[in-house]
Amino acid sequence: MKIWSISNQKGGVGKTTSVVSLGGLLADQGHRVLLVDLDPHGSLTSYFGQDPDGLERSLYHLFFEQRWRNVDYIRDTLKPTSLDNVSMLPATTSLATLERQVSGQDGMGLVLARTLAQLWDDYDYALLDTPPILGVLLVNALAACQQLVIPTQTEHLALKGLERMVHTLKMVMKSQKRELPYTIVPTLFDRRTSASLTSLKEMRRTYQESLWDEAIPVDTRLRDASHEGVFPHQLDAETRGVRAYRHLLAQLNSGDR
Amino acid sequence: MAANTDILMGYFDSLLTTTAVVEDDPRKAIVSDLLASAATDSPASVYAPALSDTIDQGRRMITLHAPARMISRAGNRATALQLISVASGLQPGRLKRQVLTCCAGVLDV
Repeated sequence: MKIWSISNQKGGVGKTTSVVSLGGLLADQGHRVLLVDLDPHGSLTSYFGQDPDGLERSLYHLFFEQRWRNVDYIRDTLKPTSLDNVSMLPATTSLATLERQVSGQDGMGLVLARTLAQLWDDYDYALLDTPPILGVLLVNALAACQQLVIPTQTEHLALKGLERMVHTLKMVMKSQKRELPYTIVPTLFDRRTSASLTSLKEMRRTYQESLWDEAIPVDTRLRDASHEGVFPHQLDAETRGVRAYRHLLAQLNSGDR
Repeated sequence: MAANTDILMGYFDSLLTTTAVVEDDPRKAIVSDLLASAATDSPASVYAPALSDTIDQGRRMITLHAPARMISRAGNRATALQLISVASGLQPGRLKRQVLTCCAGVLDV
């Protein structure tokens, strides 16, 4: 199983859209894919028609009573998506209380890694949709993944979020004593605005080695797909957003270590 | 910035570290058995004169060197296990006891 975390400590940069787009394209290639929602807002969970307020089981419940050890429990927690070969580990709003509940317990940053280890042969890829805040859930994602994708909106304020994310990543790598490859992905790029052009130029200047050399454009078809609850390529396989994600996927897979 | 980093590093370390010890780790039992058999004493008559003048002089002649490179944890453990094997062939005495004590410390048994 390959585990990619799609993370940024800033919200609204296209994390969930990236998870869904990349996951759908991987499934289209015939891979078995698991999408994991770590965000208490449950955007990914809602995307596929599940209610983050109403679910009885979610990622939250795996943090207690060592349920992550029970592979049957984990499998029963998964939900279907609009594709047969893609499943989802949903979020519930109770995840927002996790920080307080597990405070002071050692090793709580490793629960997701252990959960995914139980599903190792069930899936080819796991894509993690993380919350836009530094806490136990983001640390779980960083500890579990083998590769990090950092979607970054091409606008000035997003650059500060990117700086914080890279700083956090370096600290987690130091704590774990391992290197984690990461790719910065410019998103919501609009070539007609100077804000997009200027911030992309700044990203290229500062993060040359880790920056993907293309950008995900603004594409209303991606939003339409979320409204329909389907993967973007199911709605329109050749829309420019899907084409850009297809290029990104090729880049991520070629960069696999 | 540095103070914040220290706070965050402590936070990450606590989340990413487990202190749970597996009490019945079979590897520990093997190492304990190995240490126990290496430390099995011969009769008291053999034990008494173990620290001879020769050994005492030898200890003073040995020059201690700092290791040229850091040894990994696995390397330390492998060396300790090799030392136990060597020590098991030594006559009972202070040298043997000290070697085995050091090995036990490295192997954490």
